[in-house]
Amino acid sequence: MTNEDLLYRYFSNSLNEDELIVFNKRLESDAKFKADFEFENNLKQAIKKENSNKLKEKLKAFEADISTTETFKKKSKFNWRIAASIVFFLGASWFGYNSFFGVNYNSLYDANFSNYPNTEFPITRSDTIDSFERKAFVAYEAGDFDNAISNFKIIPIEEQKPYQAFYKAQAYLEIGNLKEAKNIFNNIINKNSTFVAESHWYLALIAIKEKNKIEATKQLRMLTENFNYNKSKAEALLKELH
Amino acid sequence: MINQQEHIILEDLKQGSDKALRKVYEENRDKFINFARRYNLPQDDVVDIYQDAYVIFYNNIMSGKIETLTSSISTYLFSVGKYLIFDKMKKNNKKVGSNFDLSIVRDDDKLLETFEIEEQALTHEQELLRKHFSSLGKQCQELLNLFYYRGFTIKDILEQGNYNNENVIKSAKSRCMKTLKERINSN
Repeated sequence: MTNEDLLYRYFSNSLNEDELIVFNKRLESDAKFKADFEFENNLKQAIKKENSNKLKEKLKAFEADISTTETFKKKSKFNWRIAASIVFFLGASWFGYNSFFGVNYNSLYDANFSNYPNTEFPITRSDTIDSFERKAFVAYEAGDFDNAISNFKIIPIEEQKPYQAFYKAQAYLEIGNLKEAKNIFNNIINKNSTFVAESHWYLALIAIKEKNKIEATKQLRMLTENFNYNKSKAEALLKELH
Repeated sequence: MINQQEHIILEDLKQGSDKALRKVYEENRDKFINFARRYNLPQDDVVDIYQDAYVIFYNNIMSGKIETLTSSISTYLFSVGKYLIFDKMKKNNKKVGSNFDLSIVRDDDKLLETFEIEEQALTHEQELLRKHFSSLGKQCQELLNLFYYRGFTIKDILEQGNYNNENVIKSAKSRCMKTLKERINSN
């Protein structure tokens, strides 16, 4: 195989085991081959960097858009009184809607609920041990929450980790078993385990779903006064409730 | 195992879709910022880390290191992000809690083992190559990108339909490499 072919196969990730041996030997014995390889490898790094730089610029532009939208939102809130007084009838009908129907709990819940992503248990195909924890998280990620719960329940004591309870509660929440979810979140808070702030947040959402304004307010206050997690969302929710 | 939507997004990303790029960025941004709050880093740093994690994730998709998803996109981003936070804290000599340590070790061992994480600074020669590469014509940049960034074979490139046959691709590549070398030598 020519030097050129070997390099081509290396950079297209198509060298087989035998070819890799030849490749490594030639790298040691052939100075010209080594120089060519280094040139192409440097080029590869340079192109990768060029792509990374361009992508980072793009992401910064996304970020700038998001910040602009956030500032705009804040400004809109600030101008609300003026806007409302100009479009008075709109303000009046909004007031009417709220006086007749009060807080729309279901839409508040829907607008704020999203399940917590699996940030604790990375699932790889190469895992050799198919543990109950792995099965639980695979089911969780696939949206099969009943199955996730069944597997969370049978994780042997020695493999139990504090974060598992939080995800089990998430799964209960997804299948609409608010009572179980509530028990677990309360337990996490009482034990001061992992995901305490997050548990307050989800307890507040459960209370909203149950139209329990007092409990929702309590949980949201605990969250905003003691933690940073979802602080601005919690503050917004508190305003909506009152 | 991963929902169908995510596989579609992965394919869109591979095709270079800007829409998918933005969607994934926006969908995970707030979650990541919330999650990173527990490490008490300034928000600007967290956003910067999120972007770096995103770049690494994207590079691994484009170079073929991630062919299919074995976890959700969020999990990949969070795992890389955690690694970068850990790295940053280590560099700042901050103390790292036991809870934190545990999850890092897990990530390091599993999800990230096939990943290329280190984005090293370029050497002088590589920087020179980068400069001259970006001065090449669009067609050369695209072709070399396919060979060296995407790791495409000549057959893969042919399938994209921009070239008539393999020999045309080979000679186009030779011409681009020759131009690049000439520009470097005349530097």
